[in-house]
Amino acid sequence: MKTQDAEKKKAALTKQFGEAVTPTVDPDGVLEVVVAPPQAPEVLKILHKEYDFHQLHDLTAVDYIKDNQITVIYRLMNIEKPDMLVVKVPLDRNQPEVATATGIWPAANWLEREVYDYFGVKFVGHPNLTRIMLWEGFEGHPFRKDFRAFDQEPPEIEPHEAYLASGFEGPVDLRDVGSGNGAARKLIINFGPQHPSMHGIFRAAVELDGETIVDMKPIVGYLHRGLEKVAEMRTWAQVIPYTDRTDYLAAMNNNHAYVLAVEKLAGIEVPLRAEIIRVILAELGRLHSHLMAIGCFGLDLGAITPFLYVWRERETIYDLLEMVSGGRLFPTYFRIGGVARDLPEEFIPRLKKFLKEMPGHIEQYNNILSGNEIFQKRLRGVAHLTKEMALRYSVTGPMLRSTGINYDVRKADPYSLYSRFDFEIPLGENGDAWDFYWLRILEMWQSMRIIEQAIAYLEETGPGPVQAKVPKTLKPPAGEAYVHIESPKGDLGCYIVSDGGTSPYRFRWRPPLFINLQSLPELVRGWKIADFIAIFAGYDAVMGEVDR
Amino acid sequence: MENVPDVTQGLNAYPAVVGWLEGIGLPGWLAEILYRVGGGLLILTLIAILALVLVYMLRKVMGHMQCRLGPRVTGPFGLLQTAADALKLMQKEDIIPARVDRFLFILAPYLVFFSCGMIFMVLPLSPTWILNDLEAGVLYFVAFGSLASFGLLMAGWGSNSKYSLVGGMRSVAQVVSYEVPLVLALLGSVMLAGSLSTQQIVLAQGGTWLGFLPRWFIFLQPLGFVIYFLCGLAETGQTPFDLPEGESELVAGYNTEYSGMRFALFFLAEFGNTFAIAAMATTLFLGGWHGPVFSFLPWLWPFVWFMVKAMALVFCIMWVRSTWLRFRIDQMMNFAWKILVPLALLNIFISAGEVAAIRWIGG
Amino acid sequence: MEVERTVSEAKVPEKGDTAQMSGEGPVFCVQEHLQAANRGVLQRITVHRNALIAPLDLVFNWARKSSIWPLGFGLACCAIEMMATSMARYDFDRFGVFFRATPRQADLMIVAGTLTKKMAPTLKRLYEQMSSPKYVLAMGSCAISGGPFRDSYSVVLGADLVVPVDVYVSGCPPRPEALIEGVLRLREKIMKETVVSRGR
Repeated sequence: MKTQDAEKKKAALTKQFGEAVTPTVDPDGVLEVVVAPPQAPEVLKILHKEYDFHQLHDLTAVDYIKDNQITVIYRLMNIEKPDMLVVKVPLDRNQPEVATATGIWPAANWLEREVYDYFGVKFVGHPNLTRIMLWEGFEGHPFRKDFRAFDQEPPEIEPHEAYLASGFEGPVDLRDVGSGNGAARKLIINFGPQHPSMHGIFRAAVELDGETIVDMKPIVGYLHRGLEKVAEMRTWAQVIPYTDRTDYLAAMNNNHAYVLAVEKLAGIEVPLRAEIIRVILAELGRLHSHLMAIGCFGLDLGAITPFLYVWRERETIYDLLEMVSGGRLFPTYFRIGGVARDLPEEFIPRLKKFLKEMPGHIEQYNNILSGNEIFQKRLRGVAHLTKEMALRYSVTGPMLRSTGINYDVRKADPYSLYSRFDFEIPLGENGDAWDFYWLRILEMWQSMRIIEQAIAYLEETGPGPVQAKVPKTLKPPAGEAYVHIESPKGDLGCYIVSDGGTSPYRFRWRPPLFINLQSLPELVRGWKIADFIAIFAGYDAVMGEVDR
Repeated sequence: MENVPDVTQGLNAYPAVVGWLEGIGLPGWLAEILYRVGGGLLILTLIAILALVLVYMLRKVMGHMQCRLGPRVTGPFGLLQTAADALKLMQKEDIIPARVDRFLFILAPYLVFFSCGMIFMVLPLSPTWILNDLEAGVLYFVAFGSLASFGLLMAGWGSNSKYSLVGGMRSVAQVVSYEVPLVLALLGSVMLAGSLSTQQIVLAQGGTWLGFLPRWFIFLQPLGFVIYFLCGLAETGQTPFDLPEGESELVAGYNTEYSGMRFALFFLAEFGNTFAIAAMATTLFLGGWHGPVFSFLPWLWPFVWFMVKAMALVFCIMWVRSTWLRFRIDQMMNFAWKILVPLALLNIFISAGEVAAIRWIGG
Repeated sequence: MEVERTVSEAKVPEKGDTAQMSGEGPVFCVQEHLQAANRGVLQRITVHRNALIAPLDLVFNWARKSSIWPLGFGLACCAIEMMATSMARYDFDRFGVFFRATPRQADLMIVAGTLTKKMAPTLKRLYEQMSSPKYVLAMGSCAISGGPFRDSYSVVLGADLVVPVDVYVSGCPPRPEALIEGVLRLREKIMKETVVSRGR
């Protein structure tokens, strides 16, 4: 995505701030502004108000130990134009401090906590600057280049974070609960980390008044494996399986983001046949993930059977993936420069058969689930995600589209071959749980359309190479690259920084789910427990991506 | 055609057993007590066997509805699966968490199981196989059916755990709300039969109209049957009313802190209650033990027909369990008070009209 | 009738073992702090069974192995394969395996996925909440030994550093067939137990 009118903006910024900013337009057309730390809050505010960058797309940091700097990187976007701009704030490594951006973009809340957790950057004015992925008591900041304390012990007791406005609440003996003169007492329940409906290990501390949710606080980090740091200790090609394991429901899309980023950095041209195969698999991944989302909607609400029907289709997709690569859940089929090997002969006929059967299966789901009155009653009108709220929290993916905002990276910033395929972006109206569900079904139809076109295109182009000539030990030139794609969960970004070596210098995954989840408390306030489960199902959360 | 007098020949156990016991020298009151206790033990055995069969049936039925096979490895066709489950539960450690209210925690499963067991006393399994044909059998059934809610609330509160508490509260709300339409729905059958005794209600459904349509009350009371069925689902906590044990919301609701044999009692009681609801529906609406009697073992056929009808209803309950989803609590309460109660009242008016019509036609 | 119960010896890593990796980065040492009860213990217990104990053992062990109720404890990607195993194609319910949501009613804890240090206390608490007799199955290479995240700063190098593990099922993720094999091996292990002395 380019910055619109980059030169004009550059001139305007230089005029407004003078020495404090150093704007440059990089070869992709994105305007990068290096800002001195004291002026950073003002620049960001101006960019938000006057230049209309109302969405904080990503907030991360890179440790340039050689320059004695930790650079905090703000990636701002305006999704309606669309428009992108990058602000870099280099901080002194020994005392990294900068003002918080939570006043401008609420989405910065968790992102800044993450940067504090990883690098030790203090965001002055942040409402709750505590560790988010690791526990209080962890020594050091792991993403710093001089971090060595890898063998720390796990915490003795479970982390009891300060829950909510009510303060700390440990285990409570209900017999000690006094009568309180008949005054209503609020109950704080922990959902998770082990809970059948929490889509992995996620903890939600919910404050209840009867069955109505008064407030809630999500606590993440239980699956934080330090993937981004581990990637710094692997070669460029060895990182691909790690990207598989972030969003483990749709592994291919993750691979896609990463290899596109590396190819952009290294300037590798991917052969056409490989690109088409990638698109087929990416859309298959979208089907795969949405099927699971639909099944989980049913399961969380109590309908067990549709979950099994959905898995019947997923197993067929697993068969296809196994045919292609030998792996069911993690095919790890994409390579830097193409795909690992050509498609076997049985793949396309099997895929065609699958596409022919799918409409019948979707009808079956509509009969048993979507058309079920109880299901509709449980979901229609539950939660109200407004456009303004979605933009404030940088929500992307089907949830954003359920409010009516038409932003899909495949159309807004086309990558790979999406510009030559004909498909629609389904939009919702109400931003309620029903839209979260129904949009996924509509997106499945569109994915099938794309796959059909891609198969036709593949047959048209005929046989060819599926991998570009890439050196065995890949050493991309020093620099950085950012690529974002539309994963089934939202706008997935991959930011890589290279220092010319065989390993990434910094590997940043822009996780759509992590950023979407920040809107959860506001979305569920005032609804019942059962609605909380239904709304959470709408996020389609996968903890591997949230926690990495 | 079935003939009540022939079937009951040689079947009345009471004079035979009590006579024999008195014959061997026991005083009359002791023989009576032993007879009653023996009957009670027989009913408990029936409940145990039923639970075994029903759990297996549930897993198989749900399995097949979900494109898979249920238990297959344990015994031929997986028939011994529930026996293995029960034996395993017996071997489990009995955990009583430190801070529970011991009295309530321990009493709760027994109370729930007790209420389930007591209901079976008035079920007419056959013209003479009814443990105690009370004059107010239906009233007794309703009274003990609602006793279970005490047990669930005790479990919920006594477990000293927030999930259990929410589950217990939900179960009380649900059971109490659905009692009202349940009672109103079965009043229709009671009015048509003219008696609260379960055996009398079954006897009133004998015979046929026009030579082929059996005189079951379901044909006169379709609305009552549907309401009763739904309220029965809610009373026992089956889908779509399984909020108290909403597995995907409350982990296991009021069950969360129970392990081993205590949990087994809850489990057994759940299936016992399910069968009891189905059995009562058969009694009230589907003609109970009426059905063609054949010359081979004539005394067994009423029982067989009763079980067939009850099992068919249980199958419907499992079918619903596989297909539908859970209500939300306010939707559930709405449904009970704003929809079912008015419909049940309407049903009573319709039944009253039918009673008058029958009396007028009859002469 | 004598029954030998052996727990096979695992290779105890020596202090100072290092792993080489390509690229730059810190070289790490295997954690020295190992819980003694869990790894590298060779046990040979001879139990005398007589005509009274043997049939009792048979029946009780048969009941316990035929009715394994796992705790639904999916941590990461292996949870998806665990779900796949209980779905229509590789039906787990055939073996009587029936997932329960609460640890109190579960017999088996399938640690499916990476165990992070933040999650470790919760894992231990869940294990303690389960009622005996209980078993643990470590599914996937992350649960066995940290897996591909072995050099991470926040991963516990194997679930058996926190809870005692009975069966290890390797794979990343293990196929459903592998998980079923793991459960079948657990069943065999259960059959070898006896009512006379219980280790847990």
